[in-house]
Amino acid sequence: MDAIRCSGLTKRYERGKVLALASLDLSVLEGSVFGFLGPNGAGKTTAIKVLTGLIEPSSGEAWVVGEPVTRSSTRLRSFIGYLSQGPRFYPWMTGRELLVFAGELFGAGRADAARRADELLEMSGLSRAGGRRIGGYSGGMVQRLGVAQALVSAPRVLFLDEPCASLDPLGRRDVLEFIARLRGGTTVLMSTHILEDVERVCDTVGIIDHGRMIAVEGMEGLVRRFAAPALFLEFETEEAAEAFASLWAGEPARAPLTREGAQIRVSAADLAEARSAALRLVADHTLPLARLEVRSASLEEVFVRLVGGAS
Amino acid sequence: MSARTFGVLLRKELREQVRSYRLLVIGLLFVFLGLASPLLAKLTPEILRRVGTGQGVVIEIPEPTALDAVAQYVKNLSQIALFVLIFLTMGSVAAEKERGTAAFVLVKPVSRLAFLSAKLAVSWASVAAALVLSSLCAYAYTAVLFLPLGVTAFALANLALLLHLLTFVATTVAFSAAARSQVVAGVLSFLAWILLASLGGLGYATEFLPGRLLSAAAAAAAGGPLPWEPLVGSGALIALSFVGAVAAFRRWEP
Repeated sequence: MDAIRCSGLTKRYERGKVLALASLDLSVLEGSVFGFLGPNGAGKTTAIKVLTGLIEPSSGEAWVVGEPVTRSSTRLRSFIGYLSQGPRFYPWMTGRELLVFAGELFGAGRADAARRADELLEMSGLSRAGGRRIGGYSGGMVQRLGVAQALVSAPRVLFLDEPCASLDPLGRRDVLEFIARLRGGTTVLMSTHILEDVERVCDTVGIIDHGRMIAVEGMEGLVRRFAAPALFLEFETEEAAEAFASLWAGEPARAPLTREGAQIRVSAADLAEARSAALRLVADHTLPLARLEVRSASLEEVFVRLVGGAS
Repeated sequence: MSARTFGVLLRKELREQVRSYRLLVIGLLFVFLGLASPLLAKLTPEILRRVGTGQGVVIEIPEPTALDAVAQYVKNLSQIALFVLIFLTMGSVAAEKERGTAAFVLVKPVSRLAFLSAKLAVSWASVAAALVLSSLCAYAYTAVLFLPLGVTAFALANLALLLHLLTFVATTVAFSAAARSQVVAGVLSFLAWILLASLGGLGYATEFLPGRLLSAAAAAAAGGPLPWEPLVGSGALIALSFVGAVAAFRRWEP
């Protein structure tokens, strides 16, 4: 069953002059972790704001756990958790007070909200800072608190807009591990432009650019479909790499090659054949090769190919 | 709008008023004005007499009465206190929209109506509480410096004054909900105040303006009845402000 579904979702700003979302269609399976990937200004935040009922779409429809998304639906908002991009909270509240307040807004009693707040403070590594005012928190602490408040109601669907922004490597690791642990129980839609984060935790990836969804697929399928593994060669000198590139270009029907300093990348459909040919050239011309390896395709290549091509 | 959610929002607003020292500032200002007004009424003739004597002019001013103290009290609260109130209230919604905290609340199961109602209710409650303190101070000090006023008459005068203050707090909250920034909200609120205070020449319709509540307050202190027209006019302005605020706030997108 789909936890999130939208059809033809369009959002225009400035009296229709700016198209932020262009007929977005999307289905996110219940219990999955969906990575919403795109360059800055692609429409990720707008899509999340529409799906959380914060803003009204210009046209199109959306449902979250079967509930139609409207700005007035408090029922919809009782199912979801949301972390905004660059979250801001009441600086005069303590971290603990904020979590209790958020819990009470979801209808929890004071004692239950306090218990949940303590759990979340522990989970987010803010137990010791829980009694301090948020105004004195660092950016990373505010981000951790943001993730904690999004989870306060144990939501069925969690929308995270750039959840790892402002986090140090340890904080980022903790948040990603936590998101991964939610898989199966909570549906997570996280937007990011950090490809590594998506690769680490997401089951499905949607790539959005200029308000349009240009690809939606499972992580492996996407990489298989849009990026091939490549042969990677590193020479001891730039001159050697340059000589190899010239020799490679002179060979008939060679796979495309890119060079960056002393490093060369060959994208080939038949990697075994490309490797044999490359080794033959190196041996015949006694080029000083430092390293040769076959690298599996990455999401980055898919992203660059799709988004670079679209723009 | 669930009563429970509304209660949670009310507590948050009240705590914010306390932590941001807004409640303290309003309370101290009102108490100060409550004490200073009768004193100023008592000393004004003497001050003027001395100023006049210094310049070789003889100024004849009748001996002030308790009613002059009430007039001074009404004037100070409807001018100085209202100015500060507008200044402190203009960001009540607009600042939350600017900072992003409104979105944090509104993405939870909270209606925009509940959010606004809690803002207005706590703003009103703090004004009402401050006015009670102020009126007690003014009543006691007037009794000391002049003569005790009739309790009912003074209470009626305060009722009119309270309605006047609440009306402009409501318009300020409305502008705060509708405007993009607290500065714009503040400018619009001050303009509305000045416009409504300076409106005249509207015939019988003038009687419905909230400014009439001030002359009604002074008259009530002297034992006169409160006219119904400014009560109805102010009530209508409050209702209009609230409906407009809710409509504008429902259209707002973070």
